[in-house]
Amino acid sequence: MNILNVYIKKYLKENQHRTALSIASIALAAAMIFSMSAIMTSIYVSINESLVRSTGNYHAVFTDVNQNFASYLDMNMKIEEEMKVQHYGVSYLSDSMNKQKAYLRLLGFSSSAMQNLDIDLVEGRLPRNSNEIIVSQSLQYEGKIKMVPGLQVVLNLGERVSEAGNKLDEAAPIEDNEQFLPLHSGSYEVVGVFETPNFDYDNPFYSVITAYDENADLPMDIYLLYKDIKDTYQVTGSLSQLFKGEYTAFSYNDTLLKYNNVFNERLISFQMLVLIVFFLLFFLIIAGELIFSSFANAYLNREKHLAIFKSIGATGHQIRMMIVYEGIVILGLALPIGLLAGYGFTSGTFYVVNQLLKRIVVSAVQLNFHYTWQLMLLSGGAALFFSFCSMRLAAKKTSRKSIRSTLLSNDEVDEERKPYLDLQNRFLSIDNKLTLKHLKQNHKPYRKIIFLLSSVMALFITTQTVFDYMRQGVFLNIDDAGYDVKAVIMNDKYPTRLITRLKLSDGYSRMLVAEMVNVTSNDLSAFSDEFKALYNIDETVTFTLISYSDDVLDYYIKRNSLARNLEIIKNLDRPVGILYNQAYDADNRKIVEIADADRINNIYSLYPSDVKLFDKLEVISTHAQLPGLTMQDTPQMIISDAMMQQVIAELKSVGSYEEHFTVFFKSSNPNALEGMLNMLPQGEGVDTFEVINAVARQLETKTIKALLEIMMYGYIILIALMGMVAVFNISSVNFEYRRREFVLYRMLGLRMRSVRRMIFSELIFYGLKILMSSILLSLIVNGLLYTFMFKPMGMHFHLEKTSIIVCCALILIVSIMLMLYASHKIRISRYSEEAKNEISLL
Amino acid sequence: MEILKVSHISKVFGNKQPSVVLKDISFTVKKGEFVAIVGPSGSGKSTLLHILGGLEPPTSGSVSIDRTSLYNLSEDQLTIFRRRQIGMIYQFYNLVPTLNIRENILLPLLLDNKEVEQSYLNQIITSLNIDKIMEYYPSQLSGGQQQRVAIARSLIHHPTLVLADEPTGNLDSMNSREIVDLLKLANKRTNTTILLITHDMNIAMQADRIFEMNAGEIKEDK
Repeated sequence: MNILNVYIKKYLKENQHRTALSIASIALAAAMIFSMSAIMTSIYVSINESLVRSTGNYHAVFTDVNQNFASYLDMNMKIEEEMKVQHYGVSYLSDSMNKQKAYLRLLGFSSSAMQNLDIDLVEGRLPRNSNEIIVSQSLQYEGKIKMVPGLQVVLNLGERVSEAGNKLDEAAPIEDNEQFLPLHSGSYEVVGVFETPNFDYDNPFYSVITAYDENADLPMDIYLLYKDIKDTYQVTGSLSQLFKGEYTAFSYNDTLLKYNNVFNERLISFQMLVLIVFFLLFFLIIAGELIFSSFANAYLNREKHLAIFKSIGATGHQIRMMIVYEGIVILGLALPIGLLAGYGFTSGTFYVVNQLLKRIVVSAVQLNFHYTWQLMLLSGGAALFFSFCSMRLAAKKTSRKSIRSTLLSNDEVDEERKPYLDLQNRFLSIDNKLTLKHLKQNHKPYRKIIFLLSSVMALFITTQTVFDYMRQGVFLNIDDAGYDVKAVIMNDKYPTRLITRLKLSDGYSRMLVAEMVNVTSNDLSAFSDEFKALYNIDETVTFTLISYSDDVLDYYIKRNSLARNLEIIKNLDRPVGILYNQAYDADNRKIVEIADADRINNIYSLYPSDVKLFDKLEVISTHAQLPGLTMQDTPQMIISDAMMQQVIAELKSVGSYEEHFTVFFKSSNPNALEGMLNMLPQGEGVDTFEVINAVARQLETKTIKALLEIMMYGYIILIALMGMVAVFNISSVNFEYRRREFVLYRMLGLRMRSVRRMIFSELIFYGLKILMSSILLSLIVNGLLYTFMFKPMGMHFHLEKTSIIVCCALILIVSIMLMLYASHKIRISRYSEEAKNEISLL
Repeated sequence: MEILKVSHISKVFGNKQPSVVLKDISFTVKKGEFVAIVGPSGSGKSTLLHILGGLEPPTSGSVSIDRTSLYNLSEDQLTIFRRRQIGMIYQFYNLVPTLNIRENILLPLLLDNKEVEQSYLNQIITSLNIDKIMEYYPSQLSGGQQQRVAIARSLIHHPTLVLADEPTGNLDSMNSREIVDLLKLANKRTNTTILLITHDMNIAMQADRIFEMNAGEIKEDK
C-alpha cells in the first residue's frame, strides 16, 4: 500500500477522538442537510395537498353546462379528470337555529367529485345511488337539526324567490320577505355525515349530497383537472370561446393555481419558495462551514508531517491524493451514518408534528417523506461537494506553505493590529500580557467561530423576536377571557326564556350576560336631535352600542389589573367610546394600536364621519378582552344598562337593529357543558344560538403554537448543534496547537490558575465579539423582517430581550467548557514529552 | 568530478525591511567529498543548505547537482529529484511520529514506488546499530537513536548528495562523535558526497574540506 495512505490510516487510528469529531461533524452536516430538505419538501408538498383538500382538486369549473359541451369534455385529451355536480335544488329549513342558513342544498356528485371536492366523511358511508344522502356536520352543530345515518327524510326541493317574484341564486344572501317555491320532493335515506365543506361557508345553505344520476335532467357543473396544470389557462380559455352559450360561467381554482405558479401573480408559492430557499440556504452555509472546518482542522496540527513528506520527496500530487484518501475514509463512514441519522431524525419529527396536527383537525394533512431517494442523493452530493472543495482547499494551503519555515517551526505569526490590543502597561501581570499576545497572534481560527456562532445566535434572537410579534398579533392570550364556554345569541328582544333555561342548567359555576346592539343609520330616528347633535351622529355613521352589567365589569376589574379604568363605566350617565388594545389619537384623528401601555403605532384611519363621532366622545382604552370588544375601525360606544334599555325601547319603535347577547360560562368540564348546550331543544324563540368552547379553541391555538415552536426551535437547535460542534472542533484544534506553548509556561512556573485565567479571558474576549456581531446581524435581519412583514401589521420594532440574555449565558457556558477542556489537556501533558521533540503526538 | 556547483547564490528575506542572508556565494564540491560548513549563528549556513537541498529558492544564482540545474526544474521535478538524489538530515530529526522506524527509513523509496534492497537496508541498519528497533516509533527512542534513523533515511535511496544541518546539535558529545563517525563511514563506503553544517570546529576538522561562513559570505579554510 502507498506509504502516505499507511500514514493516514495510522494517524486516524491513533487520534481517535479527533477522527471521531471529524466524522461526527460531517455526519451531522449530511444528516441536517437531508433532514431540512426533507422537512421543507414535505411542508411544501403538504401545503399543496392541504390546498387541494380545502379548495378541491380541480383547476377550472364550468357551471350549468349543456349536454353537448359535457360530451366534448368527456373526450378532451388534455383533461385528466372530470368531476360532475348536479343541482337538485334547495329545501327550506324552518327549524334551523341559524337564520342566515335557512336552506338545504341538494347536490348530486359523481364518484370523482366525491374523491376530489372536499368531502371528508366523519360518520357512515358515501351514497351509492340517488336515493341516499350524506349531510353536512354543521347542520347539527349550527342549525341544530339532527339528521343521523339511518334516518329517512322527505325533502321538498325547489327555488328561492324574492319578494318581487324573481328567482334568487342558491348562494345569494337571505333577503327580507323572500319565499321558497317548492317544485318537487323526494324521499332519501341519510347514510353518512361529512365535515362541513368549504363551499358551505358564507352561503345561506347546508349542503346535502347524493350520488350522480345520469338519467336526471338537472343543471350540472363540471370541474376539470387537467393533465398539465400549466394548460389550465390556455385550454379553459379556448373551451370558453368554442362553447360560448353552452354554459353559464366558468372560473378557476385561483388559490391552487397561484400556488403552482400558473398565473403571473406568484403569490403564496413564490413567497413560500423564497422562505424555504432562505432557510435551506442558511442551513447549507452552516453545514458547508462545518465540513470545511473539519477538513481544515484535520491538517492544522500536521503541517510539520506534511513538510517532512515534501522535504523527503512527496510531490504535490501525492500530498493531494493523500488528503483525498483521508477524505474518502472519513466520508465513507460519515455519509452513511449521517444520512441514516437524518432519516431517523426526520421520521421522528414527522411523527411528533403529525400527532400535533391530528389534535387540531382529525383529517389534517400529514407530513410525509417525498422524493426520499432523490433528497438522499442530493444531500450526500452536497456533503461530497463541500468535502471535495474542503479537501482541495486544504491541499492548496499545504502546498503554499514553505517547507523550510515549517520544518524550522519559525513563528511566522500574523499579528492582528488593533489599538485596544496594543496595551504596553508595565503594571499588567504576566498572564495578562501573555493573553494580549495570544489575542494578537491567534485571531485567525476565531474568525470562523465568530462567523458561525454569530449566525446561530442571530438566528435564535430573530426567531424569538418573530414569535414575540406573533404572540402580540396572532396568538391572543385568551386566558384573559376568563370563561370556558360562551353562547352567542342573536335575537330582536331579550331572550328571557333561553336565559332562564340556561340559568337553570347544570354544569357551570358562573354565568355572565353581556348585551350588545349594532346601530346603523337606519335606526337614527330613534335618537333625539339633541343626542345626535351632542355626539355628531348623522346618517353616515355606523356604531356599536355596548353595555355590561356591573357583575361583568366587576369580574374583569378583579381579574385584570389593566381593566381598572373600567370602573368609570359603571353608572355612566353618558356614552363613552371604548377601544380594545387601541387608543384614539385626537391630534391626528386616527385610531392607533397600543401593543402595550407605552407604545403607539398607527394602523387605522377612520372614515371622516367616524372621526367626527370620536371628536365629541370621551374615549377610554382597555386591554381587558371584554366580551364583544374587538380591535376595529368603527366606533364602539359603551353605555349604562339603564341607557341601553332606553335605546332599545326607542329603536323598537322605529326600525330593525341587531342585538347580540353573549352568555359566558365558567365550568369544570367545558366539553360536557358545550355538548349540553348544543343539545338544547330548538324553538326557544331566538334567531341564532351558537356555542363556542374557548378551552378547545385554546387547545387548538396552543397546538398550533406548539407546532410552530417545534419547527422553529427544532431548526434552531439543529443549527446550534452544528455550530457547537464546529466551534468545539476549531477551538480544540486551536488549543491543541498551542498546548506546547502553554505547557512551556507551566514548566517555567506559571500557575494553572493563571493559565485558566488566560484561556478564559481569551474566550470571553471573542465571546463579546460574537455577541456584538450577533446583535448587529439580528438588528439587520429583524429590521428587514419588520419592514416587510410586521410593520404593516402595526407592530413595534424590538429585539426579544430574553434571547439576548440566553445568548450571553450560552457564551459563558461554552467559554467555561472550552476553558476546562483546554486546561485539562494542558494539565495532563507530560513535561518530558513536550520538551523532547518538536513534533508531538496528538 | 564536480557533483555540486553553486554559482553566485544570493538570498534576501523580507520585502519591507530586506535582510541579505547570503551574498554572492560560489563554490564547487567533488563527488565523494566530505565538506563541513562552519560559522556563527545567523551566518546563513542553514539557509545555504536549504537552497542546496531544493527547499528554498535563491533570490539569484544557480545550483547544479550532477549537472542538473535545480531551479530550472518544475516543482514536481524538483521534488522527485530531491527524493532520488538528495538525503536530508536535520538537527531535530524530523521523523514522522505516526510511522514506525522501518517506514520512516524506507520513506524515500516508498514515495518513489521503488523496490527495497533488503541487503542494503540490513547493511545500513546494522552499521547504525538500529536493527533491533525497526518496529518501534520515534517517540520511544532516544535522541541519538532518532538521529541514526534520520541518517538511515538519508542514505537508503543511494543519494548523490547528503546534506546534514547540525546533525549533532541536539546530542551529547559521545553521541555526536558516533554520528559523525557514521557519516564518515557512509561517505567512505558508498562514496556519497556529504555537506555538513556545524558550529563545532572539532567535528568540522574531521571533514575533507571546511568552508567558513560569516555574515552571508563564504570562504574556504585552506
